[in-house]
Amino acid sequence: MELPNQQFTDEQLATRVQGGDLEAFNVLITRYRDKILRYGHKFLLEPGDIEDVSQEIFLKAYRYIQSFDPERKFSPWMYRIAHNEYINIGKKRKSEPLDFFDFDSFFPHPQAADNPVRDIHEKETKKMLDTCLDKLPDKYREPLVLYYYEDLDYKDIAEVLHIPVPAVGVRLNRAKKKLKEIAEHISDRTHL
Amino acid sequence: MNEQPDKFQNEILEKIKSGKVSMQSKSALMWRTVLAILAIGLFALLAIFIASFVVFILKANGSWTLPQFGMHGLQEFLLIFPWLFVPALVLFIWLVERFMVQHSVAYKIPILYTLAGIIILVAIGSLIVLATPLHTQMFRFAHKEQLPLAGGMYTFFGRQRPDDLYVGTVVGANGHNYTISMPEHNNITIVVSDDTKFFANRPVAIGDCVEIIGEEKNSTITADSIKKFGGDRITPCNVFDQKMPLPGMMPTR
Repeated sequence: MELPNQQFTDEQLATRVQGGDLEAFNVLITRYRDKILRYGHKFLLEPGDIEDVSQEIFLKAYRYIQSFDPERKFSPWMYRIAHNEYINIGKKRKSEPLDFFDFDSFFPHPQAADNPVRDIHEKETKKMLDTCLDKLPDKYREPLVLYYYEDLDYKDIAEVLHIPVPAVGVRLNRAKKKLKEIAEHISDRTHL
Repeated sequence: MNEQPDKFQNEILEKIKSGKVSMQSKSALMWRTVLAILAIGLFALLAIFIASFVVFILKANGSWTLPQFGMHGLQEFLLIFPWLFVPALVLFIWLVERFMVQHSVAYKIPILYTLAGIIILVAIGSLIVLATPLHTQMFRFAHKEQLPLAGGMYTFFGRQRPDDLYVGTVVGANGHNYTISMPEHNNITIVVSDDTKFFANRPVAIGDCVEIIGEEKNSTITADSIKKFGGDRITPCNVFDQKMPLPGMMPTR
């Protein structure tokens, strides 16, 4: 049986997949394929790697679909699998030091409000992100990508990164500050 | 619009259809969760065991109250403390934390709170274990050589004691002298001078369990300080089974 793309929510489709409906899984692949590939690009992986890893992400999603709780949102669950896979492959490729201690999620922070209308500098930040993405550490790059490119809110980003919601706000603010510094540094060098 | 799978999707769907990739059943995932919870429980129990063992052994060898003797006592306490167990305790607490943060109940709150919660849990668990005769029984079995695995741990650390610290039960009092019965020695005489400091809220009497810091010469100890154990359930005087032969507990230095 073929399913119309728009008729079901992600969560409803995931429930159908849990019941063994492979066509519903095909619709989910269609919906998330570009997002997962784009997310992989933001991890600065090689294009060849991204295609393979993305397939592995969807296969893992299928394998563990029974662990998805239909009462919760599907997208953070899907991005969490992608996050883990990309992080693993990134570690193998880049041999970056492991971040054993994360101050942002260690200490409590005041609740950061998620702005429903996004921030007024969104376009400017996105532009900076396009040019400076590769200069940002993973820790800061990922929340920015999830927020500005994947349109996830703080709560969803917290689910993907497995950190407390206030820590998302802290990390985004630090990431934006860092991004601004890098952008200014690049701008200074080009004007010299 | 119906979905027309392309190569990317076809490869995924083929792997599923061919059975190369299969969906894990709910029960398999539930077992994983059960195993993770069991691992958390096991590491927490190990942390509780180690923490309670350290407190027990310090009480059993008389070192627990050393800091009450002032700076000298504190120095000796730090020297005698079984630091070897601290990395193991930290490791197990860290493992509990690592397993817990995989679950939303833990990662949604700051790690500091999770860690504080685990430490409080380990502390309460240790107090509960110390309120039971578990370690005392294991200590006694170890001294009867009836505890094969952890026996050495109890006998070795149970013997650790600064060489100027003596513990025993007062069996006689004569003016400025006391006679104490030490679990590891024969009776020994304690000489009290005007300079001897007493850490007791009532006079030392026969039957009291005391610890003395002082210098031994010819089976006589000139006491610098004397402290009486309160109503603690675990003291060097009562940790041994009265019926069993006295072990050769000797000072470390």
